[in-house]
Amino acid sequence: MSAIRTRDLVKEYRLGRDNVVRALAGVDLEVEAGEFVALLGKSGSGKSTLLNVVGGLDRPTAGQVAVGGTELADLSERDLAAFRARTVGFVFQSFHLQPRYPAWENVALPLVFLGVGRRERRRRAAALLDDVGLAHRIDHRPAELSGGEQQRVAFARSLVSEPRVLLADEPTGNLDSETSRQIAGLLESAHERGATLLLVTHDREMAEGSADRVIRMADGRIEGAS
Amino acid sequence: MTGRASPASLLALAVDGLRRKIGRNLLTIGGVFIGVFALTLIVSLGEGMTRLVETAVSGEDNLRQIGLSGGLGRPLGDESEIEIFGEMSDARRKRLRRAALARTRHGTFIGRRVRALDAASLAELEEIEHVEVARPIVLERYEMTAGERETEATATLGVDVRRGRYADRVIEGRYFTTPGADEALIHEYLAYQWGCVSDEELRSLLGIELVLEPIRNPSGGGFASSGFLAEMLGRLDLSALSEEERQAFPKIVEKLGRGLFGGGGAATVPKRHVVTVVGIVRELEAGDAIRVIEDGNASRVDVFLPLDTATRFFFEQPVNREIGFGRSYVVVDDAEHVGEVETELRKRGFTAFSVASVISRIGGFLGALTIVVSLLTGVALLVAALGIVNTMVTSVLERTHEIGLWKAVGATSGQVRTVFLLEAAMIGLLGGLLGLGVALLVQIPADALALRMISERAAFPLQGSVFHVPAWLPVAGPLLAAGIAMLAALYPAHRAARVDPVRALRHE
Ligand SMILES: Nc1ncnc2c1ncn2[C@@H]1O[C@H](COP(=O)(O)OP(=O)(O)O)[C@@H](O)[C@H]1O
Ligand SMILES: [Mg+2]
Repeated sequence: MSAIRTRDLVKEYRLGRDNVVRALAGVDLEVEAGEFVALLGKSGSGKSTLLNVVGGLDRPTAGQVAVGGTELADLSERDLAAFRARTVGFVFQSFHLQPRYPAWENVALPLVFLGVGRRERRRRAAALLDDVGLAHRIDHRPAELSGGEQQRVAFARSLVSEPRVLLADEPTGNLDSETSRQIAGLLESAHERGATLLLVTHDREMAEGSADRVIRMADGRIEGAS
Repeated sequence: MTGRASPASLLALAVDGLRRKIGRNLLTIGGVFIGVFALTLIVSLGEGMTRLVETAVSGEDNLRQIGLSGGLGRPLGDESEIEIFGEMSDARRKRLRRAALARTRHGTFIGRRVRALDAASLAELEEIEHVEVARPIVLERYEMTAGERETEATATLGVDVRRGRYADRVIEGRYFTTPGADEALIHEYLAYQWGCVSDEELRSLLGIELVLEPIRNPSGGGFASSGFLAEMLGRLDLSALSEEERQAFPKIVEKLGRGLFGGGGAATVPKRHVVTVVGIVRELEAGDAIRVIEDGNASRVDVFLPLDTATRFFFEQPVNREIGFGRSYVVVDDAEHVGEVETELRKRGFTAFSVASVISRIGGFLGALTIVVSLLTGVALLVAALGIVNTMVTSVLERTHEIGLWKAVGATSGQVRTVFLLEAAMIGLLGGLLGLGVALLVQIPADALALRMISERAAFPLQGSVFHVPAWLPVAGPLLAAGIAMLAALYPAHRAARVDPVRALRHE
């Protein structure tokens, strides 16, 4: 069974009366469980939109998307929230950390909405921060961390609810090559531990070096597919 | 996928939201504070005043008493019967009618047949079922001579010796021997005015004789020249009287004038009364059992006479035989029968007011006042609610990115809504508790101050507190505030719940 499967996926943004942007123009995508797929393409080609729809952040205009065998269209608002909390983990280009909270609370944020108690949240966050090499930064606020460290915190957060699918949208877009390599290493080790990965990147080298398969997008379609 | 609810963690998020813009939130809390502060003060003031009146004035004995006012034995005009005759505009007729009404109201009983209170009617009163005793209130002023001391108008009061009234207030000497003895008790204040302070000086007053004489008209002029009477006559509207009554009226007034001023009828030699001082009575103290109807008249009395003695002196003035007592009261066997007796008295043509009905009137008035003022504090709470709406909408807008992140990592719309409702509830609760606490603190000095002011002016010494916090108030006040705050936050919380995570995270 494929971990991610989309059929004729369409997403349109209606900007005005006659102005409709087709961000996804019929995407058929299959990612096997445990597969690491890199998604390349020019800016505006629909990569982020695809990730958002697959991750349940956004609903498609038409077509189907199933993750782990669950058809997302069948999920209620509540179940979709649960799906975001447990089944997928997101890593964003601009980290999206909460500046007022220390690293561990940022990592543990998804657990707040899963009803996990504070002590357990801190324990799990500490373990993950240790995994990404930030054990000594557990109580630091984002502003006290470098960009690479911030993205490692965000990466730890995406793993805190032990999701099967990891969605990373240009996670190294704001980082230099040295720290980019650290993030690539983290993605690879997550892959080694069995996670399914969908990585959007501009970094062809990183895509070809780390991923099992590279897919290119243009104008809301996957290139090569007809 | 279980374990969704996590009130404690959501509460932590709400607390964090509160602390984030502490200045702004303090202002909002201040709005709630003012509302609950005023509400607490007003409700407990209303409650306290009602209780104060009730405890000062109620008690088994008071609730069994009904006061009566005497009249001239004739029905006086009914308001609704006043008519203005002649050709005129409606507006003018209205004006004149209002003027006529205003003139009738002075010193007359309107709309009710008023029966005289004399020996006969008191005897009749005692025959009524459930009436234990009927007693006149004999409150008279006399010119008084006590050795070298003289006064122009000393107030005297008849004391119901049969019921042993005021016996517990005798601080020197003894109580009356019989209900008709020619004895007197004098008030400690009169003694003080006479320069008697020490026990020994007080004792020196025992046994002295008081000579009481009806007050003469100081100007010595006759009835016709009495400016006072002329004015009184001018005020009365005789048009409401029947022909027969109109003829009787001047006679009564003439006698009244003679009795009051001693003018005109030089033939009547005023009677002198001599009584012996047997004891000193102290002023009322808090804790004394007060009979409102009897004691309400006693606040300026210097000389107390046995009731039968006072009545005898009273009727020796011819004019008094004509018009009877000004006031009297009946004691009913059981408080439960008071309403029944009151109705019967009115049916028989007496003006009757039971203490119970007066208390319930005061209670009703205070209750209505409390409601009106509470509505005003409701306006304060409404303003506070608008403040909360404003604060929360701003807060939601500022935190859109954060809310988007919450939703991206798995928060449901319900959880987001809960966070903001909790935040509002805390604003309400904090403001409410603060308002309650400060109101309770303020009550301590305010109570002392108000009690001092009131008791200096009140006829009776007061015991208790101007404020009374009903048991429900400390719970309901803050809860009400929290409830209002949550209502106010419904819309902002709804907006927060609707935040689209994709949009929220796109713009940074
Ligand atoms: N919320 C939105 N409203 C309007 N247009 C959007 C929105 N999100 C994306 N788009 C448009 O959809 C297209 C695809 O965007 P996106 O998926 O972000 O591309 P990529 O991530 O490949 O750069 C772009 O033309 C973009 O302008
Ligand atoms: Mg993008």
